[in-house]
Amino acid sequence: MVEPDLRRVPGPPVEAGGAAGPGRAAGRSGVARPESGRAAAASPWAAPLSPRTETLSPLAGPLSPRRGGHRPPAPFRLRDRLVQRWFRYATGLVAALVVAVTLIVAHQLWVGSQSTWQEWGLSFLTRTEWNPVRGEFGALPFIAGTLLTSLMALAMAVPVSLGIAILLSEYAPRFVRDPLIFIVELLAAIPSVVLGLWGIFVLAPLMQSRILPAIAASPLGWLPIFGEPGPGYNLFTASVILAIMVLPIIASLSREVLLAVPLDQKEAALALGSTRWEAVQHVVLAYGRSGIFSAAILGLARALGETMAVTMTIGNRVALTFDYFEPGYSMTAIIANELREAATELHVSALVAVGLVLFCLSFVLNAAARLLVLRLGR
Amino acid sequence: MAERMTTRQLTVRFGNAEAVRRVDMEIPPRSVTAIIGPSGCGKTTFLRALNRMHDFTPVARVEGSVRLGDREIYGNGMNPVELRTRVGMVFQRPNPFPTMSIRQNVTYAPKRHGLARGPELEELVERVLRQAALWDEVKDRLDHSATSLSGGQQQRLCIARALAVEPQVLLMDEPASALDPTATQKIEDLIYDLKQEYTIVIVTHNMQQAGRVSDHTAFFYMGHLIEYGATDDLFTNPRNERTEAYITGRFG
Ligand SMILES: Nc1ncnc2c1ncn2[C@@H]1O[C@H](COP(=O)(O)OP(=O)(O)O)[C@@H](O)[C@H]1O
Ligand SMILES: [Mg+2]
Repeated sequence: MVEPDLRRVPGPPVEAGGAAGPGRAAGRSGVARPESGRAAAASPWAAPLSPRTETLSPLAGPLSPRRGGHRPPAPFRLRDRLVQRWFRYATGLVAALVVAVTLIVAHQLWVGSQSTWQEWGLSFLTRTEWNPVRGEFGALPFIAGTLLTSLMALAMAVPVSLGIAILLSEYAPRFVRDPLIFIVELLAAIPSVVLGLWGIFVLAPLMQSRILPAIAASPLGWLPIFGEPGPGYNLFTASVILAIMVLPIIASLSREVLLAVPLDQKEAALALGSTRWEAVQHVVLAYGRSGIFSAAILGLARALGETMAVTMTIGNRVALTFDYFEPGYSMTAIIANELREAATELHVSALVAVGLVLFCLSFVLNAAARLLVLRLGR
Repeated sequence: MAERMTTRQLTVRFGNAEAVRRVDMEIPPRSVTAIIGPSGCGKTTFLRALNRMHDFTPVARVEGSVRLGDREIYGNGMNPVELRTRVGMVFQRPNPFPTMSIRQNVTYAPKRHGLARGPELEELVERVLRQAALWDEVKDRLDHSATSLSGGQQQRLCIARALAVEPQVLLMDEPASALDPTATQKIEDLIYDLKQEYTIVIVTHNMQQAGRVSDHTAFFYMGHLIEYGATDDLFTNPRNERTEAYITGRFG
C-alpha cells in the first residue's frame, strides 16, 4: 500500500535525566509503542463510570478470565511461606470436610432406605400408592408435586426477577432503586413459616374466591395444566408461595450479573445505533446469560428444598396429578409430616428413600446446570 | 458519503467540572483529524460529544453546537439513535460481542436497522471485512466466536462492525493503545485507506501516530483546544508554546 508521506514528524528528543514519560522513548523506533502503563490511567470510562464492573459476583466466574497470580518479590520470608502453606492446608481441609459431609449424608440416606429399595427397587420411583397402613409406598406423587411446583415457581419468578434486575441495573434512578433493593432484600428475609401463614390466611382464600376462577376464565384456562377451580390449597398456591421465595434470590443474583457486564459492551451496542432497550436485550442479557442461568438454577435448588411454606399450602393429598388446581404433595412435605409418626421400619425407610431421591435430584440438577454454564460461558 | 463536522463553543461538564471548554473546531470530510493532548485533557470527552454518547452519563451536560453537515446534532430534529448510525465509534479497548460469531458481530447493526438481508448481507459482510483488512484472515471461520481472534484482529472487527452501518464519520478513541506494534501498524494503514470514504477523527496520545496517520491535528489542554492545524505545520512549527512543550515531550 502507499505510505503516507508524513514521516518527517520529528521524534521527540529523549532528554537525559529529563522527566520523560514512560511512552516517550518510543519515538526513535518509529513504531508506536502501546503506552499501556498510561493507557490504564487514561481511561476514565473504566473508573468513574463503572465501579460496577468491580462487583464481581461469584456467578461471573466462567466469564471473567482468571488473572495469573503474580509472583511475590524476591526477599520472600520463610514465615510468610509457612503461613501460606498452612493456609493452603487449612482451606484444603475445609474443602475435604464439605465433600466428606456430603458423602456421609448420601451414604446414610442410602443405608437408611435399604428396606425400600429391597422391597421395590427402582420401581419405588414410579409407584403412585402411599399407604402406611397397608405398607405400600411409592414416590411418584411427591416427585411430581415437587417438580411441578418448583418449575411453575421458576416460570413465574424468572421473568419478574429479570425485569426487576434490569430495572435496578439499567434504568432505575436512585430514588427508585434503593427502596426497591430494600424491598427485595426484605422479601428474602421473611421466614418461610411466616410466608406459609400468609399463604393460609390470605393467599389460599383469595385463590379460592378470585384468582383460580379468574385464571380458569382467562385464555390461560385452556391450558391442560389448569382444571376446575377448587379449594385454595393446591399446587398452584404452593407454586406462587415458592415463586415469592425464590424471587429475591434470582433478582439479586441476576442484578449482580448484569452489573458485572462490562460497560464497553453496552456502549458498543449503543454506538451502533441500538436503543438502550436493544442494547440490554441483545448484548447485556446475552453477555450475562450464563450467570442468569445459574441464578435461576440456584432459585430452583431453593424451591426444591423448601419445606415449611409448601407443606402449609400444597394441600397434602397423595395423588399423582398434573392439574395445578388440585391439591398435591411434595417430597419435603411428606417427610416433614410423617417422619415423627412413622411406626414401621418400612415406612421410615420409604421416607428416607424419598429424601435420597430429593438429594439426587438436587445434585443432578445442579451438576447439569454447572455443565451448561460452563458451555455457555466458554 | 463523508460529512463535515463542526463544533461551536462546545462545552461538556461533569457536574461542576468542565472537561471540554468552548471548543470551536471544523473537521473536514475525507481526511483524518487527530486529537492529541495529555491524559485527562478532554480528548475522549470531546469525541463522545460528537455522537451524543454523553446522553447516557447522567452527570454530563453538553452545551454549544455540533453539526453534522448542516444538521445540528443536539437539535430537536435529530434522533440520537439515528445519529449514531451516521457517526460510528471505535473504542479504546477492542469490544466485540463475545457471545456472537465474527459474522454476527458485523451483521448485528445492519440487521437491526434493516439495511440489508439475505445475499446482500453476505456481500456486506465481505465488503466491510475487506475494508477493515480482516477478510483474508477470517473468511474461513466467520462462524467462530469473535473472542477467538487476537486483540488486533478484534479491533479490526470492531472497525468493520462500525463500518457495517455505513456511517459518514468514524470516531476512534485511541484505537491502537491496547495493541502491539504490528497490530498498531495494521490499524494505521487501515485508517489511511479509510479516509478516502469517511471523515475520521482519531484520539491518540501517541504523537508519532498522529504524525503518521493524520492530515490535521488538534492539541487539547485542560479542556481547551489550544492549537489546530495541518499536521505537518503543527508538528514542525507549533505556534503555541504549550503545544511545542507537549510535542517535544517536555510535559505530558
Ligand atoms: N463520566 C465522568 N464523570 C466525571 N468526570 C469525568 C467523566 N469522564 C471524564 N471525566 C473527567 O473529564 C476529564 C477529561 O477526561 P477525558 O476526556 O477522558 O480525558 P482524555 O481522554 O483526554 O484522557 C477528566 O478530568 C476526567 O476525570
Ligand atoms: Mg481518553
